[in-house]
Amino acid sequence: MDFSFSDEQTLLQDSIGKFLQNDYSFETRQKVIKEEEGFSSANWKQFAELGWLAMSFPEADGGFGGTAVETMIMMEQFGKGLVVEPFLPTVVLVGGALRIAGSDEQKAAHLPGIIDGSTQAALAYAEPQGRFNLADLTTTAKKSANGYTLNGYKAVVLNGPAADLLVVSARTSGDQRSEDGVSLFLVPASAKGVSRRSYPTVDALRASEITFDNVELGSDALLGQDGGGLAVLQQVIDEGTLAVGAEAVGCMEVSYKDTVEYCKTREQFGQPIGKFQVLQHCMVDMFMEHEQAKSLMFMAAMRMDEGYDAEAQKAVSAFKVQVGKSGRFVGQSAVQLHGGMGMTEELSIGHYFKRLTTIDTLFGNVDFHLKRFGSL
Amino acid sequence: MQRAPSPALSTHLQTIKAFVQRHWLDAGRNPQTWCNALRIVGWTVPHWPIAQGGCGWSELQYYHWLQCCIRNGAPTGDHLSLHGIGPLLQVELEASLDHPWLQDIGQWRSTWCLAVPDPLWPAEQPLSLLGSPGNWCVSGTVAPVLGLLQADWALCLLPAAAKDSTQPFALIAIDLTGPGVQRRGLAGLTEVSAVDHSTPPSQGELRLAKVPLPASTWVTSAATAGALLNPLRAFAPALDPQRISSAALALELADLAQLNGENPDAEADVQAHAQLRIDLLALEVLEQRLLGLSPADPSAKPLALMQQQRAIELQASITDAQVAALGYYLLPFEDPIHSHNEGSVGPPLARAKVAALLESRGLAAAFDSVAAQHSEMTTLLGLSADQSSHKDAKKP
Repeated sequence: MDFSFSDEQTLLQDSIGKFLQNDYSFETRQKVIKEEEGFSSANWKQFAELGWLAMSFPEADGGFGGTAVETMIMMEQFGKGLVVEPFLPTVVLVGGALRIAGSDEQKAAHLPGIIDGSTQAALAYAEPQGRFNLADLTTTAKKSANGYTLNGYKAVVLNGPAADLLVVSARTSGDQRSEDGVSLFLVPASAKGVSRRSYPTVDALRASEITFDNVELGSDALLGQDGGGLAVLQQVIDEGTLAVGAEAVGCMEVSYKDTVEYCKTREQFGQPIGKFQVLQHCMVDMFMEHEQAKSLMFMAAMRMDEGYDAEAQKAVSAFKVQVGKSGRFVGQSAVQLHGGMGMTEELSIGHYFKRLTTIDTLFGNVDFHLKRFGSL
Repeated sequence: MQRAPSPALSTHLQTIKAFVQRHWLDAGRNPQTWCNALRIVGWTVPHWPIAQGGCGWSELQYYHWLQCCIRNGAPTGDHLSLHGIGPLLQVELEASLDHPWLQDIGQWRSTWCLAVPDPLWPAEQPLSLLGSPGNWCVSGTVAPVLGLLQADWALCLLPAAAKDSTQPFALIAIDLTGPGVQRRGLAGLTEVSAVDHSTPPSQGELRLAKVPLPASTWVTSAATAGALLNPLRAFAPALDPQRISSAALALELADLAQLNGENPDAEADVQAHAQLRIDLLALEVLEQRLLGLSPADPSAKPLALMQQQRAIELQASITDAQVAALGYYLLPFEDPIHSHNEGSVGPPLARAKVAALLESRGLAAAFDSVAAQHSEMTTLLGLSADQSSHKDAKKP
């Protein structure tokens, strides 16, 4: 295995690192998350100008032909800076669904907007009863004279408040949990019958509960095959899992390094607390948990680039299991070693912990992915 | 980043796979045939420099060679001799590369052990140097010496010489079949031989009674002995790739799957097995990441320590699971009547598994305790160095 980055990948990593260092301080982020939108439009525009929003798309679609490795690099860097701009929902999830299943017309209609930053998007796939089962759907899309009529309810739609475009999973046939009969639809957020209740999440992102009440869609709103949407949705979610896991690895690195630095400077009983052996061992364990997750991140990204198959799914699940376990350990240890300060809003460490905790449950928790890994 | 090997490595992989297939698997897994084939092709120590009888293989090539051998159960030689003492002798015996010690080690004709006094194990009679220049001899005991009963030679550290001493050496080689040398096995709580009676004790006591020390047995002087021995002191038999590499642990995991398969249990077992497979995958990737790092890379050493620790932990976890899967056959029954209808789950397997369990615990505790590894890593991570002390520096 070759773990080295190409020159272009190193450049990408460096450019994001510099942006975070110069323009995305923790204090700046804290101001941004207090605004209504929850992220900075100026930053989003800059992401587009720097080409980051185009990175994951094929050159034929106006992108730069990046692979899972490029997405991994970007998300790991975003994790280090606790970036709140909606790269995951807009580019990875909805952009991914369009890349995988979109017709030429659908790509031409929506990808340019995503790439130039003018379109915000969200994937509405989760339902309250479904837990992590993507096929457990009560939302329905019934055939009508002009296309489909969409009815149902979607929960915790990330970037829902800002989204102009929604990709919605709905059942066009079959029982509530049947693997056949799941379809994906492109739905304008402004369509008649779409209503949103928006809120901030615990990790300072924004999400919505979205209700679809007799939303009339044309037949051109169908993304991919009628009834064949589950495979597309599964691939998109796996790509999202890899991306969000990479973000967690970035969060873990900062949490661990900040904790080491803090323990070198914070004094108790006349000496830096970093000299206490118990704390030293804890920090070594944090280092190892981070590196363990990083190893599986590399493996998952390389597997995904070789083609999306059962082996790639296994690699992603193995990575997510590790991210869940390591993220919890690193986040909790960082807070513990910081003591009471770890709980304050002013210090970044608690914010990393909150993000890591959220990532554990996003797209399937440890138990879910452990079971999935064992069954594949 | 890519998983696929380079064309050169791919050719190497095909070559070694074909060799193992032909000379080990197709030859009926015969150790003597295997050893002869290795000697003919010159692959007994392929990782040694060409000038010293090796093939000059890169670390990556040698890693894949070991993995291939281990996966197929083919012997890879004595770990301490080939990776510890052999390279040490290469440095010290530079002037005579055709030295018989090196030749014998390189051809797998002799096995060495390390006889260094353990400060925690007070000897009845510490080693002492007797005689005068031209007529030196040594007496005393050293214990515990790992692999003593299986070894042909011992590399032995003599006590520090007095200031006015004319003693020109500190590190010596003792021929364990020579006059004045006595060896006896030492039983211990974690001793494998107590369970598996076919295996001699892994450690023993070396007694030397006026063993002569001609100049041909001197390895080095006191001035360099410490520097030479330091890497060897940290050399842990528990880190033998035959035991703890990802390839070796993959075999153990397959063994566990077979045990669980014969007695399918709750979903918890399936999940625990899945977790072990994930840990194994992470270990394999970590091994490969290390191969791509130069020794000068600051992350190389902490990652190497982490790899060792994870491997030992994983070995212990797999053995635990195997023992749990064995259930009451964990007890080393001597009477075969107890296992007449138990298929592969019987006393022989149980004995081997208990032996492995004890061995892993004993060796891990003796050489690679978690605390020791952690302590070294804390230094590498910059925690033990002098630190500035700005009280409440980050307090908002």
